[in-house]
Amino acid sequence: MSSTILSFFLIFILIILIVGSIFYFSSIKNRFEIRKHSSILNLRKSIGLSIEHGKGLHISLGKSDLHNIHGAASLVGLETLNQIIDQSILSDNPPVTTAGSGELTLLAQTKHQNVLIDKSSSTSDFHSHAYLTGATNLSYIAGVIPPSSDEDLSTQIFVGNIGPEIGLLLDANQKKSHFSLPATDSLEGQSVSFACSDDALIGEEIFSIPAQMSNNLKFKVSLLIQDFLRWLVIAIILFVLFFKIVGLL
Amino acid sequence: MKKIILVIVSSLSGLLLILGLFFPGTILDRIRIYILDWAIIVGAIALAIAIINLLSVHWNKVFTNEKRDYASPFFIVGFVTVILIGILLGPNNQFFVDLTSTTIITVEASLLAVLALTLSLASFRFFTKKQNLLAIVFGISTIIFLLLFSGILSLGENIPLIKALNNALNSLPIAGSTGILIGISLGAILTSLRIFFGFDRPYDRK
Repeated sequence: MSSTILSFFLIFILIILIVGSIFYFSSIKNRFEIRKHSSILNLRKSIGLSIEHGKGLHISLGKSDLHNIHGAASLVGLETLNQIIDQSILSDNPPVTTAGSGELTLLAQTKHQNVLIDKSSSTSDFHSHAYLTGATNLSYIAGVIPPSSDEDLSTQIFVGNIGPEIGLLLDANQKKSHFSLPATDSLEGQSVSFACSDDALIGEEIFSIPAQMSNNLKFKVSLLIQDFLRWLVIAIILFVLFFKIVGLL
Repeated sequence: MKKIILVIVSSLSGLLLILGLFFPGTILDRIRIYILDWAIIVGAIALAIAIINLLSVHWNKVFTNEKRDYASPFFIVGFVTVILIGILLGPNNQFFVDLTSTTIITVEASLLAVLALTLSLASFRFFTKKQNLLAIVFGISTIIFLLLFSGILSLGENIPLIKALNNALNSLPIAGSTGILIGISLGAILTSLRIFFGFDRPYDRK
């Protein structure tokens, strides 16, 4: 990597740290309210109804390992799983989690194990609540189809790195009238989700799920920094454009 | 105490990886490569454990669970067959390679065919269901890019106006996807930093 790119990266990290500290320790953050996304509101409603009616929840975390470029989407999936498990702790039907990566599967099992410890459950069957469905793109999807076709399900969430194959899952859900929330960082996956679902999250909206699902300060501050950086990038693009038109660049 | 140790290990690993990027060719760079190698090894072990767990899930579905799944016996038979042949003949044996690749290619090709059909039907349903501005924009752009990729505009490439139009239209998806990717990258950086500073602990039991 060239030293110029590394210098920019360092400046970028420093900006994030400064802005993050300002937002975290001052009261400026209280001036900003996080706009609730209609899809997340629908998801919360659907989770509530699932618990009320004793129906099941299915969460799929995508197929990306944590150590590659799509790892951040998988981490958001894990945090979403954490929040959903917390919300559905009173449910008789524990959520079922599927993943296309070994690391994600083991981390998801840890989350399920927490719930069983919290509930002081005598069973230790958290292994069957979170499992790997396949190690390749299509084998992952082929493995997700059987649990997502369960008649006892009412809500399905697909958060992580899932490609255009997500269309197969969303189509099956639509036929069964399950509520489904697709959120992927793959561009092809997003376009297919937009065509196949009413509640698809587009672009960077996937990273706002934890902030929308909980009132935790760290997620709010993270989202505020993300918004600040987006405006910063827009401003830089406009400035460069202006200087190019004027002939200074 | 355990929590603090986990956060220190995670943050220290992240710091060493970043420092390795900043100082290429030094000991920090070598440490970065070692850490990445370890991560790949740990990932491979995690995958092996997850596959054994998958086998146990299907085993339970066949023999103990009330909710029986028609796919489970097929999975167990397939898994045992492939693993036995692989161990007995070796992973480079031609019969083993042919058996596994033929099965995978056949199943994946069938799934892709179903996906193509599903997406065509979904696009028809999309236009009957959604009738807002976004749907109209989506529809028009689909038609324009289908025409564009068919090469219809390349016929008049010698005409400057059509050439400019072709270039402008071709740069639209690049501009759009770059915008989305910038947003995704910002989100990814902040997610990583939350873990780096120990605000998020996906490895933590509590």
